[in-house]
Amino acid sequence: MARLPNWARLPRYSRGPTRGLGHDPVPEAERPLVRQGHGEEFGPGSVLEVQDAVADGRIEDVPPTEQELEEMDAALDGVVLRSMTRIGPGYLLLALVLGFGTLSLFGAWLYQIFQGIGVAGINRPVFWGFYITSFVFWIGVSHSGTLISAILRVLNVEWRRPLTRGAEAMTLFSLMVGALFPLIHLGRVWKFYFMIPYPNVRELWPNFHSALVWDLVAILTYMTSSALFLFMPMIPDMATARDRTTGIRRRVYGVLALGWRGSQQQWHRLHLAMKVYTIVIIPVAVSVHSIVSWDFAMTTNEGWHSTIFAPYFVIGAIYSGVAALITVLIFVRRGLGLQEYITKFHFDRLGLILLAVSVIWFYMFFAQVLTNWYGGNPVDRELEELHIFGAMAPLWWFMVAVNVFLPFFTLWFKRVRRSLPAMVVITVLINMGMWIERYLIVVGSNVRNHLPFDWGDYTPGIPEIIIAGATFAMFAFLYVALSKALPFVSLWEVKEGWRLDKWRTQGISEEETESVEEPQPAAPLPSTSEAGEAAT
Amino acid sequence: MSRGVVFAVVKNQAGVARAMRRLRRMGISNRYIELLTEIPYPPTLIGGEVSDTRLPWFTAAGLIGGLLTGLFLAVGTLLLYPLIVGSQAILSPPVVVIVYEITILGLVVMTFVGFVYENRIRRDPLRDWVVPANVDGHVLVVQVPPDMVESRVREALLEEGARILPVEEPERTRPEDDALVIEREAQ
Repeated sequence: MARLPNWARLPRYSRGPTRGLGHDPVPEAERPLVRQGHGEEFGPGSVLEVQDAVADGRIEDVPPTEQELEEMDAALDGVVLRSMTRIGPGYLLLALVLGFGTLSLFGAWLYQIFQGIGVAGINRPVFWGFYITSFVFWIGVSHSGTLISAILRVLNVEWRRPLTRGAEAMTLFSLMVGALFPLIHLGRVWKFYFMIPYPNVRELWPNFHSALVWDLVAILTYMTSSALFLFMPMIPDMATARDRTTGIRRRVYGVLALGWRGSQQQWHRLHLAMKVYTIVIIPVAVSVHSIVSWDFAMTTNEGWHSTIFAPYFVIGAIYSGVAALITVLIFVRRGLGLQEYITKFHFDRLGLILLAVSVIWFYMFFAQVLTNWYGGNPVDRELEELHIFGAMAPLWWFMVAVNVFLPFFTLWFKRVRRSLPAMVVITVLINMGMWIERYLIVVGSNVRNHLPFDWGDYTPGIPEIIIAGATFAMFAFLYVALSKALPFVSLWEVKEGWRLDKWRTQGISEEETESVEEPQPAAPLPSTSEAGEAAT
Repeated sequence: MSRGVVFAVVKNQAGVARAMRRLRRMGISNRYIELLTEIPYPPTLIGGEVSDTRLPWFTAAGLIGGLLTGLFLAVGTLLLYPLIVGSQAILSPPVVVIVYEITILGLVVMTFVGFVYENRIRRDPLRDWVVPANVDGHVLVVQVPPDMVESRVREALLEEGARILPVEEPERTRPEDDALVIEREAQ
């Protein structure tokens, strides 16, 4: 049996740029995977072949040494912290372009505020157009980051470790983008305070029976939870950044580290807090998209008034969110040089999740269409005909092609799931399809509503098109801008994973454990001042 | 002057175990020892779970506070300021959605507040010492019990392969610790 060198198989999620390199990773071509003279050879980049060979028992699984782990730790710190501090011309150019895109959003919004909501294309009978479509889309995208991270944490899936930070950030950024749309859609945005419950002279409170108020509260809860879910596990990494940077960065990270020292008590508290957040965030995420669906389902409009809408929206949100997560991770991996830590193995696993979710989504979609069609309600029939054979048919069929057939006929194949260009194309198309799906739901049921005399058409206005398009730039801009401020791989979680992997495969030796019983304290713990007085 | 505190650096987990074992044999309990590491260590490696935290109380308080706030907003305001609309009840089951969301919001926020309190505000004598950054290994902060001689602790740790660091006074270090130091001095 061939013996793998420790570093070659070390992290299941990467080969690890270890070998006596200080902080600089060795180029992949210079790192053979098998020791000389052990027979079996693997070419560069064959991490998965190695994993398969270990699984088949063709090569022996050799746990890392303590020295190798320390080298890997240093290399990981180096790669992640360097990605936070180096700003090249390519980065600046990208930030500039995306920043311009983001500005165009606010420019178009300002234009709409000054000119009035009439410049948008929404008008009787279509009062919900591009803005609400984009709102539902972005809230959907936000769904998966936190949810996937929380589910993988609950299930203790080890390969999650390098991914969770990027996923959680995706949730927060897309929520920030999505939450803009109700404000934009209001037209008179300064009336927003009507939604806030506060004692006022008119003795009027928000109508808590309204699904729109539920939306406000649910999004506020979800945004707060997601921000804390992202921030809490980042605290130890903030402390690492604090200890390895200087000047203003050190001061900022010092504040954000919240006095973190890495004591076992602090770790215990962090684990406890994360346990609470992980369990709580899953029902919160589900509730948020359920509530978004109830904005529609609580009306009596054909196509909307359906009991299946909440689970249908939730699964649709997970679907578009997982697809967006894959797209984002591919770009983050490339942009921040994290190829060693976010590997094709991860995309393979995420691809499988995407495939499974696409099938569930198709089931929900089919159930919804079938029920509408079979019920025989004339307006429902008219709506389905508009979708399948009418003016909306090109969009509907495109959506079916990219959301049903494309994943089904591609993601079964390992080769596709591990091809990053293919995954970018597939996931971007899926999200185009999901945006269109939302458009068909939102606008379709307006143009064919339950009052046939009030049927009509919808053409988006220029500000609507600019704003809806520019949100993608804003989302990317938030990622690009904060990639220089936040560690996008959870340093301590990856390091912990390496140790756990070692302990699991090798066991913990008696030498490494502390088995002496806790002695009873002889005297109470003195305060610092008492100790100081005694010493002086 | 160290004022009864010893900072020791140990290289790896075996070193931590050796040092902890020695300190225990000398009769120094977990209360006097703080182990600072870059990653969390399983309790078996450090001689038992560290469970001195009030975080669950904050979480519980958040849960109850959130529930009461949610009930006040979603039920209380409707009853105090009824909006009478024909054929519609003043109060109906859908307010559960608001109560649920605000309960969770309270829980989440108070858990974070509790975490900040425990890390930043709660008095902990061992925390007042500032550990130098970027030491190569794991740091053990040992508060020497009053009935023990400091040099004995140092020698014991040196014998177990630890490296003793000079103790740094909090006043001379990071600006973010200033608030803590000022608070301690005021007391």
